[in-house]
Amino acid sequence: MTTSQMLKGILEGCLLAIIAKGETYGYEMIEKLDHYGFTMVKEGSIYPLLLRMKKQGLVETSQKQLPSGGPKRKYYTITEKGVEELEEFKLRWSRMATSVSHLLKEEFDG
Amino acid sequence: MDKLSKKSERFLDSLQLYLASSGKKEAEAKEIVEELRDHLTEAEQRGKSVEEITGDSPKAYMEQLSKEVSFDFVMVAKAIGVILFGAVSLILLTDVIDGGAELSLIQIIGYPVLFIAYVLSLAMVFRYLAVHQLNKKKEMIMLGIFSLVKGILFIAIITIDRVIESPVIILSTFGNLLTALLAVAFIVGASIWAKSWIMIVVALLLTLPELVISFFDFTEETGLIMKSGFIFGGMILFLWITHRREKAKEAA
Repeated sequence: MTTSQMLKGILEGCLLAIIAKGETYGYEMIEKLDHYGFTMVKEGSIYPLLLRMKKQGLVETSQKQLPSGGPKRKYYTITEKGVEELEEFKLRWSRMATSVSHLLKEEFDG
Repeated sequence: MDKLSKKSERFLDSLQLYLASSGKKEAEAKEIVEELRDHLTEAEQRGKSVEEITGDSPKAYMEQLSKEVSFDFVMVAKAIGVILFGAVSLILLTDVIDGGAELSLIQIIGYPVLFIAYVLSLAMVFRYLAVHQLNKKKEMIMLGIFSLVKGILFIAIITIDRVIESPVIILSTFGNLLTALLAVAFIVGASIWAKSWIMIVVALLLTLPELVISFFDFTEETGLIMKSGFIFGGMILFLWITHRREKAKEAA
């Protein structure tokens, strides 16, 4: 697994977590990521991931008319499969986070 | 509705061109372009620029997105088929009117190979233009050179055909009539399928002058000059009418 693949995997998990909190759209996801401190994420990089997640059946989309008129906006909701994937991601992440902090702590103490 | 900056519009246009010339599914491509338009509109309202969305390389970003959009094999096969058979129909039709179709082996193999190579390389040129975002002038020059090369290759086939002898198929009167009917049927069918007049217009431009001139007693030279004048004039007229219609549509 290359570094960028690992980062993509983490970003994908975070996007799933955000969509799991309720229906949302691209720009709002970026704002939420920003809010949690993910300022290093390039705004455009979420769209290839969202396309793939949709193809894998982790999320569903629907087009909705905005109250202000104008073009329709694409909203994402999580699917059952997406919820399962999110649970697996949480597990993977906590295992990895534990190992990393364990390692760093030992180094620090030693 | 807020307007996007020219730079953002240009990026979206390029992305659409890139996806289309990569043979990607039209509906999926349109969806992602519209989604990015929505994103860019919000981002620009907050003072961000298109670079913050695409990163340093629009090229890399387009490739990244393109990888996630499905390839439309059926559509690409259909498009190549229509262009190929359309071109063959036009060539045969003009041959029949010009006194009977005669096809050599070199032509039968050469034309299809040339047309498929043409379609594939045109897609490559469009992708190059989309990714590199050249200015209009450079774009026109590139497309100009490209059609020049295509013209030279076309003439090359005709020349090779004259120099090297290969088996020739000469059609009977009935064969000619059948060929003409099939060609016309294909051109009309393909035009209805593609909802475009272009093939019918080209067919008329290539055949009508020949028919009209053959009624009069012109010298060969006068006939040729009149014919090419008619074809070029007609093509320019057609492009002008289409252009005006598009403009009227945009204004509406």
